[in-house]
Amino acid sequence: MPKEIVIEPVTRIEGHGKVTIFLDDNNDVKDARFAVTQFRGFEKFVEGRPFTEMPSIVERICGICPVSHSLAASKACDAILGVRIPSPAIKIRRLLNCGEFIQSHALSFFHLSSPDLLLGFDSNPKERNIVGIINAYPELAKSGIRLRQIGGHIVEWLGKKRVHPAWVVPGGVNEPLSLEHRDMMLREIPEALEITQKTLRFFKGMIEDFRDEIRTFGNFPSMFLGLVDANGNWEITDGYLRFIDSRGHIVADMVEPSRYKEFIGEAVEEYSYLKSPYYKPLGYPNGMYRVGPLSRLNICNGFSTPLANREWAEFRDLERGPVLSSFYNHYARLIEILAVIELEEQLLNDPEILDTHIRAYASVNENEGVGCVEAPRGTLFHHYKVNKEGLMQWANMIVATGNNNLAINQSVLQVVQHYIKGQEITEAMINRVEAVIRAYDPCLSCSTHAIGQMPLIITLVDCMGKVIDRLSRD
Amino acid sequence: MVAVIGYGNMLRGDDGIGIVAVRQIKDFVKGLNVDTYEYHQLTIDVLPVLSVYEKIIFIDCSTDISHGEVLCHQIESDNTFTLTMTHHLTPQQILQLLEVLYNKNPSGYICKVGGRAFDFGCGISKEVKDSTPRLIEDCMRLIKD
Repeated sequence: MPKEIVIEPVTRIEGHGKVTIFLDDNNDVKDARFAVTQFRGFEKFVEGRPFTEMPSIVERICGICPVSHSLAASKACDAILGVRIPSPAIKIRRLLNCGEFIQSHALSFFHLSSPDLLLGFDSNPKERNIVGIINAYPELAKSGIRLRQIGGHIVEWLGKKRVHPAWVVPGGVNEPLSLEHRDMMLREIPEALEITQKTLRFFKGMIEDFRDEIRTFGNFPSMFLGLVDANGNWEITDGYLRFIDSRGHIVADMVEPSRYKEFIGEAVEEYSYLKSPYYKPLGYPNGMYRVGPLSRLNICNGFSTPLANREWAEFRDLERGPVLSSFYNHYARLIEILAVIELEEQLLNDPEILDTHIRAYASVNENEGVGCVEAPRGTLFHHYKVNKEGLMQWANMIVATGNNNLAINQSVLQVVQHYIKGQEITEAMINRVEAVIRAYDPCLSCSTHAIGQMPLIITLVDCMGKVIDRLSRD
Repeated sequence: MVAVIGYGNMLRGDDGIGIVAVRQIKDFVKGLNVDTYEYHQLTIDVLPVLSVYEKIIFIDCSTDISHGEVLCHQIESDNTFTLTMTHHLTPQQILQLLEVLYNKNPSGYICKVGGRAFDFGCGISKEVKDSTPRLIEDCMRLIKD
């Protein structure tokens, strides 16, 4: 008799999700689905608002990556204004994105994933959390907290607030970088570099311990998408879209993000509020692609900063073509922290970064605009249409986790097919299902939080709705 | 060195009293060796900031005591907790983590006032507003002790 295993909520990710595993009569895995169970509705309720409010409204989508949303929104609004924003504003927007990458990647690696990586996927779940890390690896925990603080400082010193800074605006930013804050940021760079390089060495030294996870955590052929600069190098704030196939061949390159609809289709499934974008020429669901740290390292020709470029070359030596296992997102994330710290230093040493010409002013010149940036989790699109008064008529957003939706589903299926054997549910099995999702660092919406501890209940249900096994975690 | 931390959500009525109080205290502690901070929530990120203080005073709203009641007392570190989410810590957990990670044992105090209204919206209920001078007075006493 067919059965279902439900894992809800999935823990140590941002937001609330659920996994359902379908077993056949022989208790073999038939299918698995990752679903987002919360509804947000931002695209609908922004209709009628002045477009200039969009950066401040949409950054409330998220408490971890508000900067990404405000940047993508502002770029869409820049297009509606029809202005080219001043060069100093481009640079400090890039600096802001560096801050977000540092703090968000540090959160993902040190707080959310390191308990699995350092304490073990099979360790006691009561200790497999950030407090367990604090007790077992206090220096590493301190490093993670400090790195997050350094990233947070960039956001706070630019935007006056660490979360939801109303600083990026249509046409630029609303305040220049002060000399004092520039120097304070520069002073923190050596420590940030030291922490990141030390952690990278530590992680590379232990990667062989995860052969099984590397083999089974989302290790399959797929397309990859991300932004690259005009030279094809790694890029997170501006640039062009590049798609590659699973063998590393470029299938679309130097695509202006405003043309995204020619390449990306959006499907919906009735079991989830998260849409499933796909590469249009291949159709749904064959056009599955991945975004995020692993993807960005796979699609680019290299990094324009020396330390990250050296690490990237070593990373790409892992495989002949693109690196396929989603487990390597952890590794790629650390290389990206290194890259944004180097980029931050370059930007801060550019005299133009202190320039006060930071905003272009105009009224509505276009009725439509697309903004695109790389969020820490992957490529993010905001697409707006306005009337001649500048009131929002329509909005479409494709968030990074949406871009990864098909791949996350495929990854969950791969893990459950490998680890689920028979009717008994083990905690280690559940944790691996959750861990493969964590590898993508999904952001299902940070505005919904659990109060206190987050319970995890897994129920094995037959097709008549009868519970035949149940496991709960406090 | 003393740190005074007001925390809460200014958009949820009385929950914002910690921040309202710390903004007033800021004016009273000029020239003293006191720093004031405002936080939406207490998270792990505050640890490096607080690791340099000998005394930490947390100001919060409470649902455990009567509306408008003010209670200030010393708190001890909590070494019994586990954590699956990193979005919120208690003052007791902050003290514990300061000890484990930074080898620091500051004296910790909580000053709280019983809240009545936590609905969406700015503004403090009359009961809490009336108790604010007392809350600030008690905090100032702890600062100067």
